[in-house]
Amino acid sequence: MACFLFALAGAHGAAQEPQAVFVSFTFRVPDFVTNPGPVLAGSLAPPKRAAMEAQVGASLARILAARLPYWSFQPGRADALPRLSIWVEKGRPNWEVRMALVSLRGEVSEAWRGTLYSPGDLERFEGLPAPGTWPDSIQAVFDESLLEEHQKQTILSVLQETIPLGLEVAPVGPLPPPDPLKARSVLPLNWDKHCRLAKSEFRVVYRWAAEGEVTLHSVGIVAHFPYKPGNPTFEGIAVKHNKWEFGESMESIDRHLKDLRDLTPVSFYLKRFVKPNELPGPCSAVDVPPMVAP
Amino acid sequence: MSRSSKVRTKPSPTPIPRVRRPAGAILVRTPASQVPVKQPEKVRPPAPAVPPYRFPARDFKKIRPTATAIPPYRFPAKDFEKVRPLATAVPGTKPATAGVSAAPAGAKYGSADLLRQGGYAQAQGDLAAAKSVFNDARQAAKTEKTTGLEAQAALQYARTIQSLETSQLTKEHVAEAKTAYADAIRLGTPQQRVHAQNDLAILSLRQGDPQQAVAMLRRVDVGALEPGERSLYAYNYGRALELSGNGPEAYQKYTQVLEQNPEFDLASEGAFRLLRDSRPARVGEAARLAEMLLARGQQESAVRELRRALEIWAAEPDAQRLLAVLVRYFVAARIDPRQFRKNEWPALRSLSERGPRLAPAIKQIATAYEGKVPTFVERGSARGFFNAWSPESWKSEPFSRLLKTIGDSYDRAEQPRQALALYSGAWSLDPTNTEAALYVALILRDHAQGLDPGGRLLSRMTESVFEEKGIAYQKQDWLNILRQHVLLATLFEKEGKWGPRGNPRSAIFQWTNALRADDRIRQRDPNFPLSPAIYLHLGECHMRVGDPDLAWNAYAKASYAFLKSSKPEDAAAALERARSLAKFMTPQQLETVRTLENAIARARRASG
Repeated sequence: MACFLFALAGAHGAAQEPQAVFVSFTFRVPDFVTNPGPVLAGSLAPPKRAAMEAQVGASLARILAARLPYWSFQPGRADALPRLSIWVEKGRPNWEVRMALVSLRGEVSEAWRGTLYSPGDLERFEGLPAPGTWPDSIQAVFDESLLEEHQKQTILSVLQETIPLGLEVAPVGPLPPPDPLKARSVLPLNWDKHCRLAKSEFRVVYRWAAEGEVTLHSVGIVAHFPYKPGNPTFEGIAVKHNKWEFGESMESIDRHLKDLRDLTPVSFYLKRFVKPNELPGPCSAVDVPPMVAP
Repeated sequence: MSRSSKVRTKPSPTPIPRVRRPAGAILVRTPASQVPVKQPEKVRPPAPAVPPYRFPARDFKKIRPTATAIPPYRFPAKDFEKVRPLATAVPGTKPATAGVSAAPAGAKYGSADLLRQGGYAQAQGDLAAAKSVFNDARQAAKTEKTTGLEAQAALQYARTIQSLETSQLTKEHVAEAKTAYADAIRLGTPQQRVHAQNDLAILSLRQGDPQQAVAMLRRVDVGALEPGERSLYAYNYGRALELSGNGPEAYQKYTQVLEQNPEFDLASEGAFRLLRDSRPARVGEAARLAEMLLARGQQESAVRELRRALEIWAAEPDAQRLLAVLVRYFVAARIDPRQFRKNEWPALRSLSERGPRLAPAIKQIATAYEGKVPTFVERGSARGFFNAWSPESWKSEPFSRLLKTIGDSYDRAEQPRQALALYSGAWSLDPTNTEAALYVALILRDHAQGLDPGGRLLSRMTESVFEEKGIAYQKQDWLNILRQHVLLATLFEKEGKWGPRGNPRSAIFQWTNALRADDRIRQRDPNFPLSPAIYLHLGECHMRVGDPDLAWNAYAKASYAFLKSSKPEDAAAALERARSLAKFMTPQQLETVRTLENAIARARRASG
């Protein structure tokens, strides 16, 4: 029940926030906790183990939120979905912290790895170091090794492909738009917190009347607009629709302006993060940024 | 300018009620209510009978997001007509005629509200309305005598004009924009002034007058810019210089931007564009810049530019410099043999065919990935096999790291023979690669039976690593040196080779040197975790070679280190070994034992 309410809070709180991705941590290798070395003194009783797993999970969620600030990472149970499942495993030749994205379909990708203990490390301690040191070690490895730049990019692209940023989208301006330049929408992402996404590219998925699923390839125009038009509660991020993808074919939006009124939003994804170099400071301080040379 | 004085056009921070999520828009909680993970049609119920949202102009009256007491803005039709040279009337810009009855008669609109409404019109792509509203905002600010807002409105007005397609940008528009920018420069805060100067320079660039743009940007007071804006300004300056034909200074500006902000992709494109156009080819500089981007985490831009550069410079004498940086990328990205075959080899093979100078180096990369490498026992012996990647360190250092990375893939795939060959090649090519030497020791420890039954290889490797003083220590990679000594020590212990002290093929030699490496690490990082087991094993070694005094000391230190590492049981075990040497103990040593016993008892009580 507690889990249900927790998840519910996450879902409702997400109205101005990107999609929640849960983060769980477990000592999946039994030996890590119960029998790590010949002269072991560091086994953990189940309640301590659960408490430490929760503590580590929460700190890893914070690291993810800082390193991939596009989704809402929240600590969650090991059965929450979608989730980033993180665990410790004895690999060859290293002990590793591993992470995999789990969705309805199971693990979406191969596990990503960061080295926790290299050959020779555990021999220095005659087994594992004291349990009190594990949270710090795991966090450091997660931040510096598992999320090192290249792997971070790989993780980012898997998340972009799989986890939507949100579900609703509202059109901006009249429908159908009078010209392609005015084919625009506003995303329910609070500008004051998420203006870093203001120049990024998005995939906005719609249901097209009876035809099926359509994806509009869209780009942020570094502007905010009330969300939701007609019943505004916050400033969202405005995007311009450039391409219409239906089935395998990609066409310019020009050819489908009239069809835009027949679309019902399903979800939207981050397609490519583009850093808005010209945003001078915190989102709340941004007016219209200075221009970039052509 | 302080942030507090900056013009704000955003809504006031009135508490925002949460938006009610419509039926069917479910976020995650349990497996039964998943986010639509690429299967949205399965997760989201069929579209509810909600008509697509329409946002005609009349809805403008609804979009005030906060409960401020200002009535919705009414677009005065006459004003709009008056200032509507940009386009013909556009749907969505005539809300005044839609009957905005909520506006009380005689309501005044503040310039800040008008600025916000102008922003909304701009977000809708309605430049005509935006221009109209910003013009109203200028007038309102003038009436209010708020020069900051008047400057801001002038700036927005000019920018709106400048947003027009080039084909629509008439001379009259340009003149209007310039006048507005001049107002912003005259009236504005230092920050507004530099924004106006910057944007005016961009207008000059669009008009094909880069000299004028350079002249304007030279006048900018960089100190007035926010730190985040400086890169943008420097990029614009660089672009203006580039377009005015001043390549060297432009390159300097671009690299200056990249030093401060390596993520600024336009600057990286600009810098490499200039390098590609340079005569004679500046291959070395391109490699240096790509390496800098790679080191600063910009793999995407670094690799993109490397590939472009290799395409055009494959036949240049120093093209291998670029290839060496690409090898560094393979290491950073942990490219394994499968990924290499699939993603990298086709392009490299084609490059090899077109640039014979690069062919040997590329062939040797492929050989390494295929794992067709012999095991190298002697230091330097791999230089003949990988002759395209030696002897210069800019070649051997990245290639040695590549061999180590490929070795990891084979080790993970449980192919220790290939792993050993690659690790030994990595060490042989670059003896300062202590990490490679560590993994040689690891493979030999774990697979001695199959790969080195007589122990010859291990003997030669151990001697080679330590025979010339300092070779293994040149890079001062103390952590890997420590690990290597520990591995070798455990290996020689297993074989019962306890001494003598000076023999690298003895446990006591390796544990002693492990302790030295541990000390070196601790000098740099006092928080480095203690290594109690080193003392414990040294104690055993001292006993085996007949030196009980040293053994006692080592056990006592081990006990203390275990205690400090929150492992009281291990501390007790180490102390017990010290106590077993009781007949050799002095009164002082006995005192030490008692102190440790008390500390262990306290630690046990504390840990329950």
